[in-house]
Amino acid sequence: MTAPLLSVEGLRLAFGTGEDAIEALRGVDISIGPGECLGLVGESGSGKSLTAFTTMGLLPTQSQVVAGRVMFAGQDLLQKSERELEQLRGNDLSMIFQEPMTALNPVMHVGEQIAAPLRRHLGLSRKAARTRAIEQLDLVGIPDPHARVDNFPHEMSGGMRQRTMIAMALACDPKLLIADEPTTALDTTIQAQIIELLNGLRRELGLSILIITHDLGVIAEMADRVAVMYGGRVVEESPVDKLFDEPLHPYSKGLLRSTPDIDMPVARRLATISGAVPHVTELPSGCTFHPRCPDRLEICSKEAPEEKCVGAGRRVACWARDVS
Amino acid sequence: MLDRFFIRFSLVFLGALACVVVFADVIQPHDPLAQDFLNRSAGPSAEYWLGTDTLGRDVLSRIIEGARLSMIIGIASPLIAAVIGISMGTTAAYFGGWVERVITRVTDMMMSFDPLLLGVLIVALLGPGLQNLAVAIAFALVPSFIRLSRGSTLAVRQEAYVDAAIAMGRNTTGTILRHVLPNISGPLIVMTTIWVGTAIRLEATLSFIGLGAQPPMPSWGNIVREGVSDIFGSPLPALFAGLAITLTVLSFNVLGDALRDWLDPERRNQ
Repeated sequence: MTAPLLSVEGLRLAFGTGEDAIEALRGVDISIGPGECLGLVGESGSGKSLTAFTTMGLLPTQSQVVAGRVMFAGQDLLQKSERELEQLRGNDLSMIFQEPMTALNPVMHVGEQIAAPLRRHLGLSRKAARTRAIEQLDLVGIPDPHARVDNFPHEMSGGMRQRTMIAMALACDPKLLIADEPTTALDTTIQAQIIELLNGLRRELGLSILIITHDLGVIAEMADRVAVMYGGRVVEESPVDKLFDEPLHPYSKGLLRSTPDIDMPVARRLATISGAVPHVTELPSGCTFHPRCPDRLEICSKEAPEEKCVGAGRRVACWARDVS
Repeated sequence: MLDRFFIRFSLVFLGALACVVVFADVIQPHDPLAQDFLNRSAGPSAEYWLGTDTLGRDVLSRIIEGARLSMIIGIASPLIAAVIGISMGTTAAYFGGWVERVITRVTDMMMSFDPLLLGVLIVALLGPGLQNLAVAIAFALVPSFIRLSRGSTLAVRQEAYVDAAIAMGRNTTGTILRHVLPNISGPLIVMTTIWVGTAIRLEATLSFIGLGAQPPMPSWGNIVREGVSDIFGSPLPALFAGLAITLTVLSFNVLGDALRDWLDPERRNQ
C-alpha cells in the first residue's frame, strides 16, 4: 500500500482532567490511502464522530488529546496552531454533517456559503466565487443552479441541502472528505442518490473519503475498507467484502446479524446484540465488549486484547480469536 | 385591532418626533433660552402655544430643544451599550473558560443594581455633563446586553452550521460575525429598541435630579423639575414635558414589542 493520506495513530481523547478524566477515545488507529474510502461503523457512543471531529481539529469543549497523532499528508494535525488548521480546513480536508437541516446557516444565501471557502482559500473575487458556486451546485446535481444559488436553506429540501453541503465541502477540491452520517437524516430514496453522488465524485475527483455511519448498507455501497468501532477503539478492520463474508469480531458478527436482509423470511425476528453500549463513564474492565459478548472467555473481563493482524489487511482485537 | 392602533400611533409619533429633532432650528417659534419678562408663567396664547415658564421662556421651544437631547442620548447610549455588551457577551459565550466566568460574574453583580443607581453612580464619579450622561446610561445598560447576547450565542454555538463553518476554514472572527451574530440579531434588535425608551427615561430622571443636562440647557427632565417647583403657579411646563417623555417611552416600547412579534417566525405566520 502507498503512504496513507490520513493516519490516526493511537489517538486517546479524554474529557476533564486528573482523576475525573473520562477517556472517550481509547487508542484509535485508522488510516486512509489516497482515493480510498474507509467506512467507520459502530453504535451511537462508540466514538466514531468524535474521531472525525478530532481529525478536523474541532475538539469538543473540556476535552483534550491525551496521546496519539493525526498525520495528514505527512503533518501532525494535532501539533498545528488554530491558524494553520484554518488554512487546511475546507481546503485540503473538508467535512459534511449528519443534519443537512441545521448544517447550513439559515440566514445566509446558499451561494454565499459555498463561496466563503472559495474566497478564503483560493482568494477568488466575489463574482468569480459566485460563478464557481453555481458550477459546484451543478456538479452535485442541483437543477437550475443559477436560481438556486440565491436560495435560503429553508427554501430547499433535505436532499438538496445535503447536496449543497457536499458542494460547499468540495468547493476547494479537498484531498479528504469526512462524511459524518451523511445519509442518516434523509429518506431512503434520497440516501441512495447521495451515495451515488459521493461515489461519482470520488471517481471523478480522486477524493479520499472517511464515511461514518451505523448503516452497513451505506458501507457496502461506498467503502473499500471498514473499521468497526466499539467503546472508543477500533475492534476490527477489514476489506469491506471480507467483513460481510466472514466477520471476525463477535461485535461485527452481531452488527451484521442485526441488519435486515431482503431475502429474510418475514416471520423471522431480527437478531439483536443483547445489552446496550456502556456509557463512557462506566466502561467495563478488560475488553469493553465482554458483558455483551456471546463468545467471552475468562480473560476477557481482565485484560483488553491487542489488535492483531490476521490475513491480508485484516486486524481484529479479540481474545476468542487468538485462542481458536 | 388595538395593537395595530398603538403600533401605528407609535410609528407616526416617532416619525414626527424625528422630524422635530432634525428640523428643530426651523420649527422652534422662539429661542428656547430667550426670556420674556412681561409674560412669565403665562398660559397658552397665539404667541406662546404651550405658555411660558417662570423665567418667561417659551415652553414649546424648550420641549423641542429638549427632544434633541433626549433623542441623541436615548439613541446613542443603547448603541454604545449594544456594541460593548454584544462584543463581550458573544466572545464570552464563544470561547468559554475563565473569561466567560469573569464576565458572567461581573454582569450578575452589575445586574443586581438598578440601572438608575448605576447611572447615578457613574455621573457622580465623572461629574454631570452630556458625554458623561451618555456614558453613564450606556454603562447601566451594558449588563443586559451581555446577558442576552451570551445566552443567545450559547444556543447558536451548538448549531451544526457553526461547526460546519469552522470545518470550512472560517476563522473565529468570521464565524462570530457571519454566522453567530446574524442568527442572534432578532432579540438584540428588539432589546435595543426597548432600551431606547429606557435610556430616554433614565436621561429624564437623571436630569430631573440635577445630574444630567445642566441649566439653562433644556432637557425634558429639567423642564419637569423646574415646572414642578412652580406647579401651582403654572402646571403646563411640567405637564407637557412629562407628556413628551411618556409618549416617547411608550412609543419605543410598543415598537419593540411589535418588532419582537414581527421577527418571531412562529408568530408572524399567524
